[in-house]
Amino acid sequence: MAIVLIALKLLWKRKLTNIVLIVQILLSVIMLAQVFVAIEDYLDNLQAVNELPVNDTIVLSLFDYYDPEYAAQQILSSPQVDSIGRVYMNENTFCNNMPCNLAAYNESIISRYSPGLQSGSWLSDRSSAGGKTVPAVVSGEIGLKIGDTADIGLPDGKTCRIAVVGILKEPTQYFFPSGSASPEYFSAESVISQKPVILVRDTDLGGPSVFAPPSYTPVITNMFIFLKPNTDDTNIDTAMRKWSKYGEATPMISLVSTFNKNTEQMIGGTTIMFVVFLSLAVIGVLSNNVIQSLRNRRLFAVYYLLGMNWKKGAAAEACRVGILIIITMLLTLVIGKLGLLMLTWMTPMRAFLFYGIVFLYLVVMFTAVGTGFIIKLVRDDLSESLKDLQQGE
Amino acid sequence: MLIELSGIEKTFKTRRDGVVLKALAGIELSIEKGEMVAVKGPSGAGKSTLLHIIGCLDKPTNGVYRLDGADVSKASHAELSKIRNKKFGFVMQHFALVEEDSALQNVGIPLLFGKTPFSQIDALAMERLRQLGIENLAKQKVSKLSGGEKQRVAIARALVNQPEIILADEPTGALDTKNSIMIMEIFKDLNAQGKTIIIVTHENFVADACNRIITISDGRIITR
Repeated sequence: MAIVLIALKLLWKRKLTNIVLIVQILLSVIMLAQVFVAIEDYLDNLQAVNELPVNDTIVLSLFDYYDPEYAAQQILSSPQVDSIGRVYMNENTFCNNMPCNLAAYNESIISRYSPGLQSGSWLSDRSSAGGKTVPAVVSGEIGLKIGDTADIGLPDGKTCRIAVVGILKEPTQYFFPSGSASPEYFSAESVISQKPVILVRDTDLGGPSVFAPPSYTPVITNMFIFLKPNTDDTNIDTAMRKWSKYGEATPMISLVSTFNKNTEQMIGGTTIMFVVFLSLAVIGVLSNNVIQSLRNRRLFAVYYLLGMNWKKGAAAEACRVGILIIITMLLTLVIGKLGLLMLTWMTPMRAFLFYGIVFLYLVVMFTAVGTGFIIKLVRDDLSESLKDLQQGE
Repeated sequence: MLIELSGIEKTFKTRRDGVVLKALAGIELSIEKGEMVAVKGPSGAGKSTLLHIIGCLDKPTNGVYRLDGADVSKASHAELSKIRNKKFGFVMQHFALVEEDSALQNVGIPLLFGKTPFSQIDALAMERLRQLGIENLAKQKVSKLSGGEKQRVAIARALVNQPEIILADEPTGALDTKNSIMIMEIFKDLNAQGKTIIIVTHENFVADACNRIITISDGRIITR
């Protein structure tokens, strides 16, 4: 009990320094959250891009003035082409009272692309098809379970009932090629979305026409050309030159490898920024704590004179560090609730992991100097401290 | 015999070059209960080291130290800290007070390391301040007090555990004449009440106020 009381007295005596120390640590935790979210985002994108159909695939960013149906017919007639993949998209669908994306994949995409699921089966499993409902894979945020049904509004003004056959794993990431697939501008956001989604088969929904009001042609930004296996490079180059009049053609593999390289560079840059920042935080925090420990040394010499042994002193210092860790940890929970730690950008599991990292970070930061002080306290020649005390220092 | 030192030696290794310095070289000393003893000697003679050994702040390198008949020269640090808390009260030249605490809080510190219930600490500390006539200073921060007041707070703190022995290291060294005389009067009173008092000093008037003067030089007692 005396140890806790001494630890509390130590904290109270240096309250201003402790407040500054805690604020420094909290600022560094906020920065840590930003770095954590940036890195998890990069890694998620990396994983999602690598789930895409890559081999023997050409992405064609269609020019607006070509009718997609006409272009598709022309391309399909080439001997190198196996099939054409198309994704019909709508960004204003409501499901279970939640705004979400609707994406309809054609058979070619479904057979070559399989996003990570947390439960259920992918659309390629036709066992659940049939009946009056449309089999759908949805993201968990929508709040539906496997077997649930829900009505959704279609872009053409009609409604349809979906039956959930699969739930995407978290965080939600799926193929949604709404941006330019030009190598110059390519980023994960061009082909991947993280908004809540309903994924269906185009034919189950009644064809592409449901994606446009009557008299409009549904717009497809990107077309995916799947080549026959073992097509040689010369033939591919020739075909790509031919298709370039319909849009900008790029092999998917080269887009993905460019993206991987850029992401690695971004992660490297972020990591360097984090290390620099962490070093500054460590220097600030350690110097602050060293000053405190030096001041406490005189106090401990007085306590020693009056009957405290060094072991009790070390225990009091350890207790002080423990109390500081608990207070700071509680404050990180508070600032997390206030939205300063970007917790809404993390899945619950990742938020838990983040707090685990924060706890370790606090333990390392606070105990580094506390341990140094305790070692000094136990090892040092006590006559030096007492001499200082006798000399009025 | 309350304090009995036999063949006490204390050596130190200097930090810079590792040279061994002999601070005490075979001290033979006995002090009876109720004595008031002055320890005199030039700077570096070993007075403070002797006080540290007697006060269980440090262990001798060689020799035997009996306190109230018990050999404490081989006691562990934990045991020495208990003895220090129970048997000794310390008064230092520069007071060794916690400047940012109040007089009452300072006087209560030794009780934190004993078995006194927390609820009684303030009352006991107040009683000692009253004994020294400074209860009006109880709530004041020590940093705001004069030298004489600080030393009286330090004496109150030295008495709070009701120790048998008061060890004072140059207790008047930082005070003016008037306050020095007042402090010595307090020591004489305490001695008259049965406390054993050992004072390390340079000053003749302090030494003359004691019943016995021990002179120490080069780590040895030369007159007793």
